Amino acid sequence: MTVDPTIVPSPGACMSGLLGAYVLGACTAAEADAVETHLGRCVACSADAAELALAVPPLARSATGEARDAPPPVEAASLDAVLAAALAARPAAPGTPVRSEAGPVRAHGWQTPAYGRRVAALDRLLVELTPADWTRPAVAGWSVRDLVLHLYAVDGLLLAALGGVAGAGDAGHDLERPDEDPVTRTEVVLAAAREWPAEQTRRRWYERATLLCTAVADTSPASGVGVGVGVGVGVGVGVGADADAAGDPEPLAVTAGDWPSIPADHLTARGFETWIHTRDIAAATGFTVPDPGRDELHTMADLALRLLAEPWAAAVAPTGPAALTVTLTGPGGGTWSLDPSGVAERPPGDAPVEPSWAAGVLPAADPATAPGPTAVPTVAGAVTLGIVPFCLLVGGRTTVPTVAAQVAGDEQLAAELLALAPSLARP
Amino acid sequence: MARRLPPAGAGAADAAPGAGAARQPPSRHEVAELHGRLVAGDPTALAVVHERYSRYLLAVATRVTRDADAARDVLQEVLVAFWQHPLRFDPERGELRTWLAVLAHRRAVDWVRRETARRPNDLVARQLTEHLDEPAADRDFLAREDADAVRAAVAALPAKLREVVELAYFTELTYREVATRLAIPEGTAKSRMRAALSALALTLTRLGAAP
Repeated sequence: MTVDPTIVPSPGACMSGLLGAYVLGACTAAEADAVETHLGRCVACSADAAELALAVPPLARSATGEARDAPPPVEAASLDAVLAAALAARPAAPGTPVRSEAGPVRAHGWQTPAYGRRVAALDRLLVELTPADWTRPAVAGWSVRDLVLHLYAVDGLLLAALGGVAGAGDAGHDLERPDEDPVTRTEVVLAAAREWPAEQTRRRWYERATLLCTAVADTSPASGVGVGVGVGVGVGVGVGADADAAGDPEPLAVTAGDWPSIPADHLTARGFETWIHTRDIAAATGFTVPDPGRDELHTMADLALRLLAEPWAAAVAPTGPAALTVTLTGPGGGTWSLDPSGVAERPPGDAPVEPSWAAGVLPAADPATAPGPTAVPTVAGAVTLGIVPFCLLVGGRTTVPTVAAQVAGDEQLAAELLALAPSLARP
Repeated sequence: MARRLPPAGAGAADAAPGAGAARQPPSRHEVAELHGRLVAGDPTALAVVHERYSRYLLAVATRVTRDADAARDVLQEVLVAFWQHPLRFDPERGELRTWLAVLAHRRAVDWVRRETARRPNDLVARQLTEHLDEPAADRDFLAREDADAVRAAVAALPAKLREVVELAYFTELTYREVATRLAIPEGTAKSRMRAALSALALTLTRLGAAP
């Protein structure tokens, strides 16, 4: 239920006036929702409500005349019932492997994509928004609603590239040009969707995002076993059809928007963009949405570094063979080595977490892993920063001075990487 | 105030039956991680919430409803609500255990209101304000004492405060409807409800009643 905007208190305002009525159950449903939303972010009111709740008289006897004081035992069946009711009210994240009667969960190697989780998170934000929230300015001159339609439009480019138009139903009207510029495509969708109410906008975006997860799953080598995802729509996907026959070859690259890449990376990028815009919408509407989990952040950062490796190598080429160690800290972090040949992640435990570079001493380059005939780079450097600030820098939502990167060795190598990072961001 | 909701002991062993020794309450970091997974649509996170909090929430609901089936329904309603609206809770600013308990309590009260609305008013009134002539054998004496103490405290409230509590709790009226019924302003109805509960809480604390 959407919370009535006339009832929701301004940020920081407490709702003690309504708590008595709330605890006695004497509010409207909308008021109760508003109170509960407030209690979820106000320890003082929450404790106040708990205190008042204690004063509510217990009922003398049950409807059957049997008086009980001890709580019933928690039965194993309770969890099954709760999960069934919960999933009926809100499905698991798009792309979540589920058990089906036909067999085991989706074959190994396939996990809920980061994209599915980011879609689930944005969806939960959108269900809390009031009609007024949808019209608030979010970013780049776009309202919250425009931003959701932008995600919908760019999802459409990838879905078209994957050949998923068949499953898109009547919402597939805009899926003809996978190579179209994302902003142009967004403008077309904005014009076409002018009459869509907020709830319809949310539903169409969510359904298309779910289709996209299914379509990409179908291109993975592990596809074809135990499909049992959410909507269960069969999507006609041409890409990757040969992959099953040929063993486990690299999935074919597809071009969506102006970017050719393998489907899995496309989906990671969609998750990345969805997360960034979820933050934009949350900031515009006064909510806080948790950042992605460690696996998601790791996948996103890895993709960003792979995309940055080439332009970085070009930028530092004049200095001669160069190597940069990038250490991203926090859950999902890791250490990557960049050099002219590309980027490689170092196995966990392999990299010094607290390098002596802070003292200006660089580790000797390892000849076994150094690239090319010029085994020892002439310049080397290292940069350490939090994985979330790094991702936000890539997403164009923070600046180099604020990410507090620690740099060692040749500072220019790190500076070039950090300066290039926001170049990956789109509107 | 040292009183907690609900009875002591119910929260210390939040683990599911057979899960072994009582566990420590989850740290703020653990709650944040769990919340993040819930927001991201991971049903296994809901299973963890169930494992951690179901005993406690059942105790909260049972205290109000005195009905095992109703308490189970309340538990399910609360967990489904958390799954559906995870962003109504903010782990940075809220306290999950208390928040879930307040939600469970309110839903239990809703059940009582629906239940009592179907029952004769005279019976309802007697149950609210009088001691019940029940045999005490095989009963949790302390809990019954508490229930009696609360009802006695309600009976001792000033009439203006008692009537709003009775109307709110034993009919399905909202505070607005209570205000109309009593011909008082809405704000007055709300503030009397709060004042009545505060007075009851104070009385019970003085009595040392341990719910």
